Amino acid sequence: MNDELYYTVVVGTSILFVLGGFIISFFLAYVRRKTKFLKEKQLMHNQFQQELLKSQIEIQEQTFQHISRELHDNLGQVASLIKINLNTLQLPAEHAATVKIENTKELTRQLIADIKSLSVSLASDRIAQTGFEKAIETDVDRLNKTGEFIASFRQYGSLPEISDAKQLILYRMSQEILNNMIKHSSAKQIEISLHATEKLIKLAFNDDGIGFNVEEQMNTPGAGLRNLQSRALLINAQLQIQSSPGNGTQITIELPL
Amino acid sequence: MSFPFFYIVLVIAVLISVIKLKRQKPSYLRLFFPYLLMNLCVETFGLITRAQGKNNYWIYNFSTTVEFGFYFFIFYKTLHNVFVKRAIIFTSFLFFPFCIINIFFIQGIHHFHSISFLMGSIFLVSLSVLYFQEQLREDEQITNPLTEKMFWISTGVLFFYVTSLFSLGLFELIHLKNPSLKVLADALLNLLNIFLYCTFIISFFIGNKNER
Repeated sequence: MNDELYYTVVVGTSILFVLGGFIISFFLAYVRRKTKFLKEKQLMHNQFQQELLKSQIEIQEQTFQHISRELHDNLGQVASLIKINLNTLQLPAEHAATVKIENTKELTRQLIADIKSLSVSLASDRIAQTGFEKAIETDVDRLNKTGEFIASFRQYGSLPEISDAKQLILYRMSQEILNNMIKHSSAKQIEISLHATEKLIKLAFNDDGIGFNVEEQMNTPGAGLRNLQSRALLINAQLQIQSSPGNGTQITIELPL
Repeated sequence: MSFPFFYIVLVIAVLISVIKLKRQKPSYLRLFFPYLLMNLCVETFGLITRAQGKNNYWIYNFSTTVEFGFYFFIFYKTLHNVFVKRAIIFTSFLFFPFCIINIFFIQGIHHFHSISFLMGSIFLVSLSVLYFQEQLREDEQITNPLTEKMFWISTGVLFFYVTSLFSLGLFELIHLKNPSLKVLADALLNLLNIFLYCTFIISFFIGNKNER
């Protein structure tokens, strides 16, 4: 009877101990599998998002390319013809329309210049050829010509070789930032600096505008800032935005190479 | 008077619980300090009275009842399932009066309350299993369970109570039939206590996720 009780206690306890061990082992194994599954799911989701973004950007670039070609080949040609026609008009100096024609000539010249400039800024192949820093420089010149802004661009260090796709995305990000500054910042001064080393490209934008609440803007659906962040993610760049109402805006893009 | 090894582990657990007291989050986990301190006092008293050859079951009867209350509360706070929470409250209302009745009127104050202990153990084992089940059901669980305080506490509780079901649940029977078997039960209890307090010590060292 004593032996029976002894074995009952020993065997019963051992079985329950093993049962406890089984529960814990099962739990840990299940969690490990689940974690692996969730990580894979997350990875697939990220890959899908990147592919989606890539496709969106490709489509956008194709559209830009098309508009650029249309502007150059069609609208540009038409504007040039208008200019030629105006130049060939022979009117006496005292004719009432002379002044108006001279004004129209000037406007047409400006129109041709704007179309050319816009066509160049949209043409992705030209950006790749000239380099994104030249394209930014052109944008800065255009800003200065408006007389509304005092814009400057400074480059420190020579640019290492980077892929056309990355250059294009950096330039599109720059365009987005400048457009936002023009539209919303009420800034007078815009400073852009490009620091280039073998390992890093750092593009910084500063303005003296009204600033904004970064967190609020980030959470606004359809905001350009989100777009910027998506593009930065695509080329593994880091985007930093510092701004607050009344204190201007500083935006930095850091692209490790 | 010799000190069993688990007593030393208990002293270490009390010291660590007081050192890490302020870092215990959620705050109800801070109750581990008074709980372990109570255990230390009970074990000290138990060792002294045992050395004097006096019956000390009454103190263990009350301390183990308080222990059940403590673990019920911890699981009540940890588990999210409303039905389980209600079950804990409902069981508490039935269980604790039963413990008192059992201690005073059924098994007697000078005998170990093995019936109520067995019932409480089964319920606690169920709560531990429910904790693990709840963790498995969470949709976005990516955290490593080994870095969760409650994982270690639940593991300790599960092993302690599931394994002591036989040794302590059949305590009275063992004691009546063959007192020499009590040595085996004591040795087992010693090991289980060491394991339980070790899991608590590990949980005290685990930092909170939001802590910097």
